[in-house]
Amino acid sequence: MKTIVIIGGGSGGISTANHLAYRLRGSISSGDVHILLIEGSSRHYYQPGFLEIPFGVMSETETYRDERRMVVDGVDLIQENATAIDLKNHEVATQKQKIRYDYLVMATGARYDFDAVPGMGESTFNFYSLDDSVKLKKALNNFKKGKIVVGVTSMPYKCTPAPLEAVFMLHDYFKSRNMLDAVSIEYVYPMPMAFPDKGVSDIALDMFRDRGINPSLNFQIKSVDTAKKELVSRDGKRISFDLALLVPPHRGSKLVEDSKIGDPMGWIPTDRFTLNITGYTDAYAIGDATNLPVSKAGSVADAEAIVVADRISKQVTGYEPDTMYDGSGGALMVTGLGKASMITSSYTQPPVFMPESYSYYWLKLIYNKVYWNMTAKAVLSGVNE
Amino acid sequence: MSSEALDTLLEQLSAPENREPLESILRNLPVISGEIQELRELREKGILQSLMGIGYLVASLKDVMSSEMISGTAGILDALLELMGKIAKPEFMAAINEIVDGISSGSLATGTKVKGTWSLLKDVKDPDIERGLAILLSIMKILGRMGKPDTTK
Repeated sequence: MKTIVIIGGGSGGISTANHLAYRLRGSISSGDVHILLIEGSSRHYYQPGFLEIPFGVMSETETYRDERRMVVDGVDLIQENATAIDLKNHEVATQKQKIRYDYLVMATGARYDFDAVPGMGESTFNFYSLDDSVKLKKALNNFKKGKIVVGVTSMPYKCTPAPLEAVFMLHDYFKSRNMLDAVSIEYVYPMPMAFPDKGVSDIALDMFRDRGINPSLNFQIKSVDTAKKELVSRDGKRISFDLALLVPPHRGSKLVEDSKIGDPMGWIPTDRFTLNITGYTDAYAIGDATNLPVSKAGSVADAEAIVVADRISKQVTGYEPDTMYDGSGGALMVTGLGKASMITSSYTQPPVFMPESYSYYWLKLIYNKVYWNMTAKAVLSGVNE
Repeated sequence: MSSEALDTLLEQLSAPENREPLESILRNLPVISGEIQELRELREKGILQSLMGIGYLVASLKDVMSSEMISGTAGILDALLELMGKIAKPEFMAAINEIVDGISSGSLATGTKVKGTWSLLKDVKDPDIERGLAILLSIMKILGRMGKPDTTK
């Protein structure tokens, strides 16, 4: 019997497990294949929803479902945390057991290193967890006047357009409350552009001009002066704020760092086409966990999950794995409360920014609801297999 | 062209913001010509009319549909997908097919002979029938719960 172990039940991990279960349905029934998904959390989160909670687009309870509900027949969910990985000996340890695998998928995501920016944890807000989004919602609701700063501390970070979306939603949020005269918004980015791609950056800067948003580019946040309520850059510049909304520094998971399979930042060295962990044809990495030059986004994780599921199902059944990842990914980017755009890219295609329209916003609202069965459980793929 | 019209045209073209778009149009004449040909085809085949109809429909929907309505509709779609995921399992589909085929061919009616109460009691001992009855009773329990009169109104 072949054992496939997937570590991490986030967007990429659950999608991989479910796609594998559909593709290997017969082998699972006959006892030739066993799929294990290791995830310590009892909840599966729809993380893009965290950014929408503060603005009332999604409610808290709409952003998560029971992890068990997200797993299809044929996947055994082990609700334990993985504690160590031994790639050479094909072994994963959890708090309670050691599991040998034939094929491994690392979907361990990213974690936030608030300590890397002194002062950040005490005096700023963010939208990178459910609790933090709820706190931000309360803070915005009680905000009467002053300057709001939306800033990125370092690259890479989850969902590259997210801080831009935050800025545009903030603008429309205060516009709908007739408070734009009392509130100013500043966008702080560590690169000389407002987005890693110049084309998208130029469009964003035009949109800033139209909306009266002030960009401060090439500002690398070193610390937060909590007493003065100021962001301090590496070269000593300062930006004051009344409310700061910062994207925290990201690193690879602690499991990757402890198992010494990542680079110094904890990202797993991954082949950009096969998605194999460098040096291992039976181990893969997907989603935020990799060191690939692609956006750390759910759409990327899902596209990679489909590739990995296809490759492993071929390996298990004795075929040559030939499916390759082309770097594709896309995001519905909210450009206000009622408007959105879509950004798509791949290894060979620089980001394309579609003109903003309410139709993309509708698509976003629809996707917020159907993510669970459309992407995570990939029900339509299950019908097809 | 009258000299008055020519003067107006030259005056308009003296402004760079007017001249540059015109130069761009002239540079792209082959592309524009191709697009016009495609538009003509769309109009001749009646497709343009249909597209305009869809456009008006979507524009009207924008005024009618609120964000809550779109989210609500999408929520129903998600529930249907979840249901589809459950129904589309091979074993479930096989059972449904067996029942439908059995009814249409008549084999379900002739497969098991019911010869009075004692025969029925004997059949109940069959483990499959036992499980089937348990499922039926559970379904009846759920239906009964759903059909309970609302005494709060």
